[in-house]
Amino acid sequence: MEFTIHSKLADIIHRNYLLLPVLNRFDIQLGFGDRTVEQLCMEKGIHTDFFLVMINSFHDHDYFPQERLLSFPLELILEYTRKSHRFYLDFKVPQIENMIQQLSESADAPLRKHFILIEKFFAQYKAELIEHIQEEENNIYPYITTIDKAVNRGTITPQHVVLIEKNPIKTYADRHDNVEDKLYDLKNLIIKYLPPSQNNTLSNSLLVELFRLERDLNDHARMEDKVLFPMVQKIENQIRKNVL
Amino acid sequence: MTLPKTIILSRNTLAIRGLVQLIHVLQPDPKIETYSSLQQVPSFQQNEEEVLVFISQECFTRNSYVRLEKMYHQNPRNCFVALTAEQIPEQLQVIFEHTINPNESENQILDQLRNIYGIQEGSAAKYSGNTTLSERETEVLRTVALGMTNKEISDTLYISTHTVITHRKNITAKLGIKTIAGLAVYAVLNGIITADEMENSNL
Ligand SMILES: [Fe+2]
Ligand SMILES: [Fe+2]
Repeated sequence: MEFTIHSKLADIIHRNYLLLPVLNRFDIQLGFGDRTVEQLCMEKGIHTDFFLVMINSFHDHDYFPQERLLSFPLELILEYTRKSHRFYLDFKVPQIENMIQQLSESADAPLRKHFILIEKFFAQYKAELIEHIQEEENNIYPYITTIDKAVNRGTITPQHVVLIEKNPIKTYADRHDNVEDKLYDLKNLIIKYLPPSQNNTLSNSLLVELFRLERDLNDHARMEDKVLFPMVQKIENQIRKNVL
Repeated sequence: MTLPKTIILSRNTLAIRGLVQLIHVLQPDPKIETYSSLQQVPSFQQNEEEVLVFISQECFTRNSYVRLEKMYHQNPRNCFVALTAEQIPEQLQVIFEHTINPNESENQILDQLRNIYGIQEGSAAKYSGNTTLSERETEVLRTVALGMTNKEISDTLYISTHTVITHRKNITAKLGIKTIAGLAVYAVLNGIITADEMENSNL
């Protein structure tokens, strides 16, 4: 684990600026002065341990203390993954969309034809991502919250049993993916197959953003697959046991 | 040359040991990981080096189909090899590129392994990163980009659906493009289909 409670936020960002969006998910903005993780978490009422595990596992993909993650309150995980959804849809996707459009507009006629293909392709990707996230936010997450509350408050009813038998999280988990096949394709189309664009700087930035989004989505899907869904399975088991 | 990383998944300790030994014949110090259950296999990343995955028949249970498919999709450049003396279940046929029958003789299995690892004398190495499509593959790509199903492609080109699937796998591996929509864009960029054809293919 690279960062500890004594690490200064400023040093963390110097060390890895890709963590900035992760900090934002904890409502931490720039301007942290010399504050350490411990100080800042205290001030802001952030769960320090959870925060540390999240930035460390994002920073170093091999660091993934699954047992420890499973021990955090489910709400923390949900809040984090929800904020990630917002980051993708409200910020990252429009940003990439803009870049592609700008590239397209600055290209001359023969090249523009190609960029229009890329624009359409990304639009399809966007639609897929939106659909994925909407299903989670409209169906899966509310289901999780409902059964989590029932167990926490000890208000399990037969309806909850019907609910978990009808649509256990496993059904969703089995077909859950990280929505990045198209992103992967897009990267290769740009790197390998699109004719060179006149606007090199912008093409490079576009690629960088695609790589970042990919990394973030992988991290996100891992949280859902390896932490969130197993947690939900545990809750479902508790409900089953409780009723027997 | 070095062999790609190899993963062996089997509940049969002797089968694992045997296969590991045979791979050692091909190369002194191969990178091999062995697992006895599907759950233990770490997930693959898209940008990782391709991996050769040997999976033994006892893992082909109905419950594991989804999981195996998911594993396959994590990085389609990975090459899956079935270790079985029987027919591979239909749902899993797409996944496997090769089959090794464990009842064959040691020499036969070694030959197959050489073939799989692409170290047969004279044959082009499979892992050379070649990105030019063969004529046949270009034809298949064209039909895929036009939105045809495997069955339709098989009827159009007079090849078996199994062959269609193999071509599709190779195309994806060579180009680094996995989705049909992505392949369609590639096809237009390279003049294999026209932009109008793409429009009309309702992809
Ligand atoms: Fe999600
Ligand atoms: Fe998801």
